[in-house]
Amino acid sequence: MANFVLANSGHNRDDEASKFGMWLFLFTELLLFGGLFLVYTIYRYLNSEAFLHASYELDVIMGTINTVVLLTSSLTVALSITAIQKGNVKLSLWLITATILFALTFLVIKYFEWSAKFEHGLFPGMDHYNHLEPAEKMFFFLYFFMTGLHGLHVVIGGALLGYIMWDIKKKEVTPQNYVFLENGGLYWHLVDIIWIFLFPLFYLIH
Amino acid sequence: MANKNTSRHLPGDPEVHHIIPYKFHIGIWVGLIILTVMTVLVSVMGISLVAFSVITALIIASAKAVVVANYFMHLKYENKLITWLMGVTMLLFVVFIAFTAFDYITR
Amino acid sequence: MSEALSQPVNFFQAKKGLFSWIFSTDHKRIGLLYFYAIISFFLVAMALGFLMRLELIAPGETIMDAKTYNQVFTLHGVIMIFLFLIPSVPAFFGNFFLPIMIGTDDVAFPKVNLMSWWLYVLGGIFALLTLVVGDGPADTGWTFYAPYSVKTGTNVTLAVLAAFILGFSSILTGLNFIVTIHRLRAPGMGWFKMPLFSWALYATAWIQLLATPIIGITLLMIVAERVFGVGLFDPALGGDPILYQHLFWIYSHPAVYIMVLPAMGLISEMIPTFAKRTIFGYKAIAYSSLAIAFIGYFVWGHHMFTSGMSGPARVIFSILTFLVAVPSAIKVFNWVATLYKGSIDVKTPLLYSMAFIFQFLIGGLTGLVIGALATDIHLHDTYFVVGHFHYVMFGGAGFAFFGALHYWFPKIWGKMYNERVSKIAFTLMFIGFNFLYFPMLILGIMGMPRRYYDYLEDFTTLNVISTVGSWVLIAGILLMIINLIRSNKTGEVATRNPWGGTTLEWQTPSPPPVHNFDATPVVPEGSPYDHKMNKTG
Ligand code: HEM
Ligand SMILES: [Cu+2]
Repeated sequence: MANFVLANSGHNRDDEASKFGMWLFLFTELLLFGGLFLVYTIYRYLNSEAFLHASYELDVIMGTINTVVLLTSSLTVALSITAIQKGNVKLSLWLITATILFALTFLVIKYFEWSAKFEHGLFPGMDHYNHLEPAEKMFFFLYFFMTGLHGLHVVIGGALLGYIMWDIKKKEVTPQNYVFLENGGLYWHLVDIIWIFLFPLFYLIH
Repeated sequence: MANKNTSRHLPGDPEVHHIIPYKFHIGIWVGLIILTVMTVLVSVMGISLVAFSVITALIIASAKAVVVANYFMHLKYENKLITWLMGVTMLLFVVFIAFTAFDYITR
Repeated sequence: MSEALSQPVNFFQAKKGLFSWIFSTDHKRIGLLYFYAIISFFLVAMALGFLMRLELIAPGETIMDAKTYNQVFTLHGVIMIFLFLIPSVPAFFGNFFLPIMIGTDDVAFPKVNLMSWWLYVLGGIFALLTLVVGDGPADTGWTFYAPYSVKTGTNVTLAVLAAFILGFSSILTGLNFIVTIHRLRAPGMGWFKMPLFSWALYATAWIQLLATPIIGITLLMIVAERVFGVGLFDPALGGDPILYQHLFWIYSHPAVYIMVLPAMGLISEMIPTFAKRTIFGYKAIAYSSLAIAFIGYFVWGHHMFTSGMSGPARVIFSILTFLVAVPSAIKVFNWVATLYKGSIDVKTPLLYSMAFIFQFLIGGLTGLVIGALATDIHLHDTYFVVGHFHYVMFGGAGFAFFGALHYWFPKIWGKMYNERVSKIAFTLMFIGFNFLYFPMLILGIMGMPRRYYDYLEDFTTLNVISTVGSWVLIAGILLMIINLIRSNKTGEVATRNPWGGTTLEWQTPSPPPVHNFDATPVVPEGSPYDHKMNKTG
């Protein structure tokens, strides 16, 4: 006897469910960073002077450039969805490529920022760092931890978009079925949103 | 057998896929850049509208986040449920911070 | 539904071989994979509990030294919490029955479901690795309190990573259930036609989703601390250990509802079936699940009354704690009201449910005692707390788990268990349990502190009683397991609906076919627990 299958099977395609699932996942990401923002808030409240002082070590110009880079990458990935919706697969691929390039730009700039800090010995365990007062140590630790975790998300998001490009090439993602790209986009925007908060909280405590 | 060609549709789902025009997205992007410039200026030059530049910075950042969510992430065109749930998530986050901060403020 | 319908291939027979299991995306198989892993871990942690009780049979060093004892209770706690109780009901019963009970053939994301099982296995391996490498298992207690957890030489990093991975697995399960419930209910299965177990899972899933990330990041901070030694939570270096406690309990208090809410859902299934009566206050039970999940986020501070939190904060957390008791009590009243004037059929699952109500009541009321500021000062970190949480987690959630194991045994394995033996096993467990833990409540009031391998002479008698109780309990558990294994081999073949249940899982053959149903399930018109309808069918 052939197996009976229900009409409302969990194995049917359901774009709304996929997007809903992605949003739920983003909630967890927000709260993951939320825990760090909580620690940041409390220690900044307890040590506002030291945080202010330490924040002068960060480079506002680099931070601003990186903010613009990420915002622009958010734009390109949003445009790539419009493009695929309109059936323009080629343009969509180009826009995703641009997004990934922006992601790399962001990482390169971050790399320079971090190496500058390393040269100043500001990474936990290094010379200069060890001579800081405790609250300033806390600032730098949080800076490295939060931007590091964010950077990891940039890498994952970029890789995800690369994978989606592959799927577009294989025609798994098409103008009729592009929810995977939408989800990749959602993830990418989340990375952007987190940075939107990291930027003023670390670079702009003036 | 399982259906892969069309997506399931339930009551409450958005009727059609909303296509946001290219130009509109670009307009949003310009707005976000302006907000970024504002927040940098407020901080570096100290031209804050209110006394606390932290609060100004956070208001601007939240505005940017809402814009990104609503338009780039299409939240505005999705099932309202997601917006509500996002609200609950944010509420919890605020509670976590507020209750913890309350302990420190009253110590 | 008649048995005459030709029996389709059931999900056990569909495919054979190890790989057809460990790479299966069938929610029933994944549920069972979870079950076998969970029950093995339970037995390991039970053995550790047995050893601890043996150590405590007499004052002084009996069978292990202080450090070993610290490591044993930590591993016991970590396994019981993260590897047994948190996944137990959702990941096993939830996976197996949620799709069937809402009339669909799988969860929304079957592959993610498989991935969450693999993460669970990985987390379990990490936890067990702490036994064999380096300086042995962590000795911090399952709470990993800083700064000690940053300084001790034992394997905290591995243990914490295990908890992190298990948290991720739990998040994915919760996410899957939320989407499944929103998107995949059968036609006609409105929100208030859902069985209460699905409601409980739904509320739980929101806690899994929104509380777990906080512990995830907190545990990562502990790892970073151990690597870089910044002193984030070390007062000697300008950090604040109380902040760690906030972060830990922001998750871990809601987590106790991850443990008990689904168990309450099981009770809401078993009681109407064996009282042959529709559940009393369906909506009140459904809403109280959501209320518990929600209010549960606001009370974490009651674990920190003696740790140096501010006075006003303590008062507020204490008041809020009393609020959570309200929805829990609503449930208890409704269960009792359901039994009232029912035609009660005393089968083993019902006995477990009764034990649940009794023990959960003790657990809940002792919870209020330590939720009150003044009494907690005296009772904090004493055996009263150990008694309290075992009453809730084991006497409550654990007993519900074993009850449901009997309730759904025929459905899952297609055989009836031996009723007489199972009742003997239950009786041993019930008596053993109360002899094991009730003395702890008294010991706590007398002032015996928890987490020590030693105690004053005065406490000896009650400790001996408690240890003997642990033997009876463990004998009961082993008998129960042997009985179930034997029944699976030699038991009578189960019909579709041996108990006269009304929810959808009873409309399908036992064990269910691969796609869960052999005909479109009939969603009841009114309440999901309408026993009048069943009389004719
Ligand atoms: C099977 C029989 C069990 C026995 C004999 C037992 C016994 C014990 C003992 C003696 C302690 C240590 C108390 C102390 O020194 O402070 C303990 C702690 C604990 N038990 Fe159990 N237990 C059992 C089952 C369970 C179950 C089913 C759970 C949860 C589902 C559980 C969860 C815990 C937790 C969380 C701790 C605290 C560990 C810590 O202090 O970090 N136990 N148990
Ligand atoms: Cu609690």
